This record gives sequence, C-alpha cells and structure tokens, in this order.
Amino acid sequence: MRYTHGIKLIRKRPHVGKISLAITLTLVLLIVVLGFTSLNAERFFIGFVESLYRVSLSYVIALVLALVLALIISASKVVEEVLVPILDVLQSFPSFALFPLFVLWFGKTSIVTIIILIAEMIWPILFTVLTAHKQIREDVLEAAKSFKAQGLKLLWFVIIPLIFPAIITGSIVAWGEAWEAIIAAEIIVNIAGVGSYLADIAASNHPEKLAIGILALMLILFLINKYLWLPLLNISTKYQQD
Amino acid sequence: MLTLKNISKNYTDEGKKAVILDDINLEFKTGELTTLIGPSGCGKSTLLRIISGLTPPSHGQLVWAETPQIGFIFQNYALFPYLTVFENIEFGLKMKGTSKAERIKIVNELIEEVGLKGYADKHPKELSGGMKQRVGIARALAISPNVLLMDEPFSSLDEFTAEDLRALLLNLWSKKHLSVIMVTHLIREALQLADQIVVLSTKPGRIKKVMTNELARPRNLRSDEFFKQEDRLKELIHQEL
Repeated sequence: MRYTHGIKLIRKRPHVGKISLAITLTLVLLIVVLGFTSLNAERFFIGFVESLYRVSLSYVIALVLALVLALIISASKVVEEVLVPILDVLQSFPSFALFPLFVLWFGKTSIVTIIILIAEMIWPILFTVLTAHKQIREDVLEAAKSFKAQGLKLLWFVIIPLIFPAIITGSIVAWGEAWEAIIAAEIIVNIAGVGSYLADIAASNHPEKLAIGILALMLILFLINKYLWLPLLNISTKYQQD
Repeated sequence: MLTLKNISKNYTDEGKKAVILDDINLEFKTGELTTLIGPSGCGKSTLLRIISGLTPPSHGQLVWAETPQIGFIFQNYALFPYLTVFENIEFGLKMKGTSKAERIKIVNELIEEVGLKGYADKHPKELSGGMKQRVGIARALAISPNVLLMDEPFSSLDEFTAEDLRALLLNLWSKKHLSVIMVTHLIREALQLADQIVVLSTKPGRIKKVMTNELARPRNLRSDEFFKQEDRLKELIHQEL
C-alpha cells in the first residue's frame, strides 16, 4: 500500500487533482496557441516517437532481465548471498560513467542510449520484485503446492500474480528514470530524439520554443502516466496480499 | 487409511541439529476424524505437513492403504489474494486440468454447500475471517479429496464463527466420507470433533498418548462425561508444560 500513496493522495484530496488539471489545461492552451505557430511540430513529434521507441524497447528488455534475475536469486539462498551484494554495487554505479566506453564500442548510435536506459531501468524493477518475492506468504505457496502447482504452473498462476503489484510500482519508477536518462543520452550522443531536438532549439536561441517543447513533453508523459500506469496501478492493488 | 512408521524430523539450523519429531508411529482409520493436540512447539504442524507431502520426513515411512487425494486447510486461510472466491475454489481443478464446464458446476455447488452464496466475485480482502475459511474449506474440497488435513483451521476465528464452522465441518465430514486429520491446541475442540485424539509431547515431539474418544455423537458439550474427558486431557497436556 505504501507505494501507492502518491496517487491515493490525488484521489483522497480533490484539490490536488484540481491543481493538476489546471496545470494541464494551461499547458494545453499554451501549446495550442503558441506551439504550432513557432514550434516545428513535426520534428518534435518524430523526435518524441524516436525517444518513446527507445524507452519502450529498453523497458521491455530491462523488465525481462529484472524478472529473470529476480527469479534466479529467489530460487536459492546461496545464489542470493553471492549475487545480491554484487548487484547492489552495480546498482549504485552511475551508468553514465560508462558512456564514453559504450561510445567507443558502438559509436554514437541508438544502441548506446538503449544500453544506458536498460542500466537505469533494471534496478528499480529488480529490487522491488525481489522484496515482493521475499514477502510472499509461505502458507500461500504451500496451498499452491498442495494442489500440485509446480514449475511453470506455479510461476504463472501464483508467483507472477503475487509479484505483479511490485512489477508495476518498479516499472513506474523505472519509466520515470528512463525519461530523464533518454533526454540526457540523446543530447550527448546527438541522435534524433526529443532530447536532441530540445538541445537544438535551445542552441537556436529561442527560449520560448524551448519552453513550449518542454511543456509539450510534460503533457505527453502526464497522459501516458494517467492512461497507462495509473490504471495498471489500480488493477495491481487488487492483487495485493492482506 | 494411513500408517506412520518411525517418522522423525530433524532440522539443522546453523550447524545445530534440532529434533522436531522423534519416532512417531501412528495409525489413522478411513473415515475417522483424528485430532493432533499438544503444546506449541510439539511439531504437530510439521507432522501434518509430512503427512501432506509438503515436507519430507528425515526418517521413517508413510504407508497409505490407497492413493490419497489430499485437501489442505490452513490456519490463516492462505487464499490467493489476486483471485476471486470463485477462482480460489477453482484453483485445484484448474491445476488438475478439469474442463471449464465441469469446474463451473463443481465450484457453484461448493459455494452453495459451504454458505458462500453471493460472494463468488469478491476478493479475499473483502471477506471476514469466517468467510475466508469457508473459501479455504471449499477450495480444499473442490478436488474431491478423500483425506482432509487441517492446520488449526478455527484458531484465528472468534468463538461464534468457529462454532459455526465446526458444525459445517462435521456436516461435510459425514456427508462426503472424508478421513480428517486436524491439528489443534484447543482441548474442547479436540473432544467435540475427534474419534481419535493424539496427544503429542514437546521437545522433541513424541506421541504421549493415543485416545479413542468414546463420547456419543451428537456430542453434548455440557455433559458430565464431556467435562470428565476434558479434565483428563488437560492433565495429560499440562504435564508437558
């Protein structure tokens, strides 16, 4: 329940919702009135789609890697004792520090940004899922086993649903961090994307265009959160253990 | 139904060996209701898990007269929180590969039988303890078990609810010809329900006494004979504390 606190707040206190709505509406207005007259909308949206593609692809890869790792770690106490300290160190290592190395290997390409994104996204998912896995009640597992649920059946019908809320909360954190990272990565690598586009208009000395670009990005990310992650979060509360 | 031969269970915890159960020999008869009773730490829950196959014994053998189909009922219900009442009851059938039509029929019958009508689409979170345990009972019965194992099934409930569910259990037990093995720490519950009462001693868990409960059914919980038996059992268990 703890991690849903922020969203609960909006539901419980309507004024928070109203303020968000007011901000959103102002943004929409700004973009409609100013945006398309001064902004190269086409380049902006193409850039955004490029970035969205990179974030989504990295997310899927990070999710699969995190789940596989979490399940391997949870399967054995020995593996846990060896791997968790290593992963903990890796987690705290700033992935941007490896940027020059990746560029050396792969050149200034999309692959570099994707690797950086995966390195950002994998940790929040992995560690929330690991915690959730530890909290699975022993008797619920025994109940499943008493019905001969084993191996893949146990994984699919019991373990995955039980860690589903953690997958969602971990994903929300990862998704947020990924947008931060992609903007920076695209600026550094200088490939087509929303980050490099914003860098370009900033360089062209049109601060008002930059502001609109940033606001447009905020609006789109807000809508993704509202229509993708929030509904998933609501579903996942049903999955929680008592 | 089942014979336990020289069953022992040891745990090794950080190099220290602990004996949980020591040389348990017991016989359970088909269709009887047996209670395992003893102070906490006597290994009664472990013994139940060994019988269920969830935990292997360190030594000894279980000899089943026929292949058992086991239903397990837990103290804290152990329901799947992400499934509805209907889906919880359906779980075992799904694992067995029973057809959808058959599953719907069996689950609906059980919902009626255990008193969960109108709750099919609720999630465990929305239910009281008593209702949760009804789901636990229905879920265990769905796979048509011939053996029902119960681990302190009514200990987490208030006395009124527990009394209701004991009546439900007795009803289902006689109707479905089940063999029941139930762990409890409540002397009155053991006397009220059981044909055979197994008293375990603690550290390590050994069999202290196997009693046949001669009280006639339906049992009068306020008869002189009941009180006399209660005192006898109490004394046996108190020697262990």
